[in-house]
Amino acid sequence: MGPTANIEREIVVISSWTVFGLLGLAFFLEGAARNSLLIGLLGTAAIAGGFICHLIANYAFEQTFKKGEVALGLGVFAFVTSGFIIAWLVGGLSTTSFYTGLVTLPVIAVGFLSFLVTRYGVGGAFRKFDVSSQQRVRLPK
Amino acid sequence: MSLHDPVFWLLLPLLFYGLICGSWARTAAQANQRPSDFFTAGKTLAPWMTALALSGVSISGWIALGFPQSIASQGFGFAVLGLSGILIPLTGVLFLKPQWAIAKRHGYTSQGEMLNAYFGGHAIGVIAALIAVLIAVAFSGIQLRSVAKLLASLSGNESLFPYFVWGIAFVVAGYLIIGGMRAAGFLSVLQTVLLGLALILLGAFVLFLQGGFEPINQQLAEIAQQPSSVSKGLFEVAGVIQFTAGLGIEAPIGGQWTAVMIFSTSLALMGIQASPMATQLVLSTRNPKGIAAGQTWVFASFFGALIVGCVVLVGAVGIGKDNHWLATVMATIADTSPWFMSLIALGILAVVQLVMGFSALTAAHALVQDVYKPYFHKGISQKDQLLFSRVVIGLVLLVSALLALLGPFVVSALSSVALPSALQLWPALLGLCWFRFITRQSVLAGALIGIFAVFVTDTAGIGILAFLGLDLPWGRWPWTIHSAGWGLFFNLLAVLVISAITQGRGHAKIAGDVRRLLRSYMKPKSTNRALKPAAWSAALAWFFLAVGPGVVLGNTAFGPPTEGYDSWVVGLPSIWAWTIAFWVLGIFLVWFLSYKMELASASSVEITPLEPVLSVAPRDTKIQKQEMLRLGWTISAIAALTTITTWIFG
Repeated sequence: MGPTANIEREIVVISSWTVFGLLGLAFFLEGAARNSLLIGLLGTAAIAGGFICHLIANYAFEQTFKKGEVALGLGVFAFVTSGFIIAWLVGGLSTTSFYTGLVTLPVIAVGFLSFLVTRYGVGGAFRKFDVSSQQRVRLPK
Repeated sequence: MSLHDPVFWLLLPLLFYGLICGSWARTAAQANQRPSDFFTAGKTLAPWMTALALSGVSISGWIALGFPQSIASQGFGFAVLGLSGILIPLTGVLFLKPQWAIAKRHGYTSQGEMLNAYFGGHAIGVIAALIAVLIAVAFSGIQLRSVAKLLASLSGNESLFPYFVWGIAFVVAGYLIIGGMRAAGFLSVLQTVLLGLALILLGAFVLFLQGGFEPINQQLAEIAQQPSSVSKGLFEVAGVIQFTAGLGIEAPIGGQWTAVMIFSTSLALMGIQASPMATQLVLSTRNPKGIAAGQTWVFASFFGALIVGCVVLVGAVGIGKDNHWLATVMATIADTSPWFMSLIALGILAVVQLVMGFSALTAAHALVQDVYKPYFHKGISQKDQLLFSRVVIGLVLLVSALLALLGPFVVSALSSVALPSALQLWPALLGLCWFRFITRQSVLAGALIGIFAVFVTDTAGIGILAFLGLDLPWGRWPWTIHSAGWGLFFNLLAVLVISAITQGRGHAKIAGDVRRLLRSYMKPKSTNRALKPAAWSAALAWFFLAVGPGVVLGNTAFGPPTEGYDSWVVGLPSIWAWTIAFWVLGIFLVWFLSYKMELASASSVEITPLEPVLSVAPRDTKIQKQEMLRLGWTISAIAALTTITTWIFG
C-alpha cells in the first residue's frame, strides 16, 4: 500500500484511539467518582472499541500493527498495570476502581492474546515473542 | 490545580489535540509535492474523508453553540430547523457531483475559477471570493467568539477569553499555513468525530440530569400550558406568514417562526453547501464516491439524528430557563463530571476550528487566484501564489480574531448575512450545473441584487443605512421572511428576466463542452429516468410539508400542544414529533435523489481531463509596472475611503 494509504490508516487509528481512549478514561473516572462498577466497565468497553477500530483499520488498509504501535500499546499497558498494582498495594484504590481494573487489564491482555492466536496461530503467536530462537536462526554459520 | 478543577480537564485534552494538529500538519506538508497541492491536497483526499469533512463543515459550531439557545428562547418553531440535517445535504446533492466532474475535466481549483471559465469574465469569481471572505471572517468569527466565551466561562476565569481566542486562531493558522488543504482534510476526520461524540454526550447528560425522556416531556407539557408560553408561541409554528414590518419595528404575534420564516431560514442554511468552501473541499477529493454516501448516511442519517434528537432535546429542556443555556448545562456537567465536560468542549472547539480552517483556506485561495491574479498580477508563479495565500490565511484569521474580540456587534451582524449571501450563488451554480438558459449577465446582476436585498433586510444593512441617515420603513426580516428568502427572490427574478434578454451571448467557449460532459456524466440509468416525476413530486411534497406552509399542520397533528401531556400522542410536543417524522422521510428523499436519481452517486462514465491549452509562459513572473500601479491605486482608494468614512462618522 502506498504512502497515501499509510497516512489514511494512521488518521483512522489516531482518531479512533483519541475518541475511544478519552471516552474510556472519562468512564473510568466517572465510575470511580460515582462508585459504579457498571460505569467503570463502560470504560473497558470503550477501550475494547478502540482496539476493534484499530483492527478494522488494519483490515481495510491491508496492513498490520506497526512496531511503534505495538511498543506504545505494550508500554501503556505495562505502565497502567504497574500503577494499578502499586495503587492497590498502598491502599489507594476504592473497591470499584479495584474491580474495574481487575476486569479491564485481563480483558485487554486476553484480547491482545486472542488477536495474536487468531492471526498467527498458537505457535506463530509464541514465535513472535521467542526472541532467542529468532536470534539462533539469524546467527551466521 | 486539583483533579476536579475544570481548567485541568480543559487543558489536558486540548494539549493532546494540539499535538495531533502539529503532527498532522507536518505530515501534510511532507505529502504536498507541488505548490498547487496546498489548495486542493493534490486532489487526493479520500472520499470518506471528504464525506466527514463536508458534514462537519456544514453543521459547523452553530449547531452546538447557537441552536439549543435559540430553541430555549424561541421555542419549537425554531426547532423545525433541526431539519437542516436534510436541507443542507439536498444542496450538496444538486451541485457537488457536477462541480467535481467539471473540475476534473478542466483542472479547476476553485469555485470562482470554474464560474469565471463557464460564464466568462472575472466578476462572478470576485463575488464568490468576497462571499468566501465574509464566511471566513464573520461566520467563523462569531463561532470563534462563542466557543472562546464558553471555554472561558467553563474555566471559571472570564479574563481568559482573549487568550482562548488567540490560542484557537493560532492553532488553526499554524496547521493551515504549514499543511494547507491536506492538513485541514486530515484533521477534519478527528474534528467531525469529536463533534459527533460531543453531541451524543450532551444529549445523554441532559437526559440523565433531567431524569429521563418522559419527565422532560411532562415538564414541557406544563410549560406549554402557561399563558406566557401560549402568547410567545413556544410550542407551535406561528401561522403561515405574518405581514409585519419586521423585527425592531413591528414584532410578529405569537413568535416570529411562521412557516414562511422557517422556509426562508432553511434557504439560508442551504447556502453553506453552495458556498466556495464546500466546493473547495469537493474539488480536493480524488473521486466523487463519497458524496452520495456522505450526504445520505453520514450527514442526513447520523448527524441528522443527533440534531433532531440530542440538539433539540438540549434546547427543549432550556425553554423558560436562562439566557446562557448551553454554558449552564456545561457548568452543571462540570460540577460532577469535568472529564465529560472537557470532551464536549473539545468536540465543539474542534468543529469551530474545522470551519475556520476550511473557510480561511478557501478565502485566501479565492482572493489570490480569482482577484489578485487576474486583476493585479497575471504572471504570478505558483510558488508566489502559495506564499501570498499563506500570508492571506494569516491575515484572514487575524481579522476574524480581532472582530471576535473587539467587534461583537459587527461580527454578529455580518455573520447573519454570510450564509444568505452564499445562497445568492445558487443561480450561478444552477446555470453551471443544470440550466444553460442562465447567462453571465443575469447571474452577475442577480447576485448583486440578491446580496443587496439580503443586506437591507437584515441587521447589517439596516444598521449601515440608519448610520448614513437612511431609516428604512422595515425592520429585520419583514413579512417574517428571512433575508435569505428576500435575496433569493429578487435574485431569481433578475436572473429570469435578464437571461431571457441575453440569450446567445452569456457564456464562454467552454460552456458547450461542460454541457456535453454533464449530459453524459449526470444521466441516470434508463430504468431510473422514469422516476423523474416521482422525484419532483417527492421533493416538492417534502418541502411543502416539512418546512413550507404545510408545517402548520404539525402544530396539532400529534396532539394539541396546550392540553397537557396526556393529549400528546407520542409523548412529545406535536411539532417536534412532526420534525422527527419528516427527518425520517427526508433521509429517504436524500437517498432517492442521491442514489436512485444518481444526482450524487458515482458515475461509471470516465472523465478525460482536457490537455491544458498551450500558452506562452510569461517571461517575467514579477508584477508588471502597470499592474503594480493598478494595485497601488486600488489599495490607496480603499484606504482613503475608509479614512474619510471614519473621519466623517467618527
